[in-house]
Amino acid sequence: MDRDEKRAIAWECQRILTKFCLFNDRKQSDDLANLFTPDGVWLRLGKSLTGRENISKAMEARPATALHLHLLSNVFVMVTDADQAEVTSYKSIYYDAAGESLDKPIPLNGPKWVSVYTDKFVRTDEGWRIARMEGTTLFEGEPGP
Amino acid sequence: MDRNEERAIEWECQQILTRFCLYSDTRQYDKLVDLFTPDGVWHRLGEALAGHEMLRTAMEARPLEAMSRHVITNVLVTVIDADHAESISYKSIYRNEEGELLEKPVPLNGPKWVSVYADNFLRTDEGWRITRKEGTTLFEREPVP
Repeated sequence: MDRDEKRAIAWECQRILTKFCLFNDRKQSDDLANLFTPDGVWLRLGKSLTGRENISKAMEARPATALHLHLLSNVFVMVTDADQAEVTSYKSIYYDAAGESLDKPIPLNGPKWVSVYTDKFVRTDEGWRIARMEGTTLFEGEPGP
Repeated sequence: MDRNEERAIEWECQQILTRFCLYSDTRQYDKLVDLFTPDGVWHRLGEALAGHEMLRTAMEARPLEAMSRHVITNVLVTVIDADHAESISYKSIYRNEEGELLEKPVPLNGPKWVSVYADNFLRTDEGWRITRKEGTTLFEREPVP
């Protein structure tokens, strides 16, 4: 595979992760679940979520008042072959448990979490999709005042 | 339009937003204003800045001693057609009111603001340009005592 093809795949996978953050932050749970393959797995907070329905349900179970903003950076895509890729990325996650119900802007105390992610992507008829996602939280901020 | 063409547009629009941050942070206001179409509108702090003259006047009113860095992430460009696109992006804005006058590095307490931006783009003879920009500040750091 030449660099043009690899660059195209890298861009597509990065775009999926950017959508993942946006749909997550906007609580578009079904749109988020559809970024995974039908049997995709998300290892989240010590629990294995398998399949789009379980992923969507776990997202819907989050408190409606919580405001999240997932800032994505350091996306490194390693293309395995024409149909598979492995991606590492960093996320800085801003959070307020009651944020959705508060006037904006709300008080800021830096990111609540800084995490690293390792994701496996596969090419499908719908485009590139996440087959497996795993995040590890490295830093956690103290509760604000 | 195929994905190769869309990807090229996504890249061009992302570059425009990156230049917007650079020109804002380095006070290159002629260049910043030229990123907008002649009738482009920026909805900024509750005011609609319409056209290059209003945009430049608002920029030139920024205090000279204040230092800012707009860190852009999560740029998701969606191509509407061959000449139109829209994007969502996140910005973490670092700021020190007297930063330009002080020795570097200046003290840091995390970003002052974290914001979400929506932009619309139009293809022109000069390249892709912003027709409409609107930002919403979600988080704001309290002044440090």
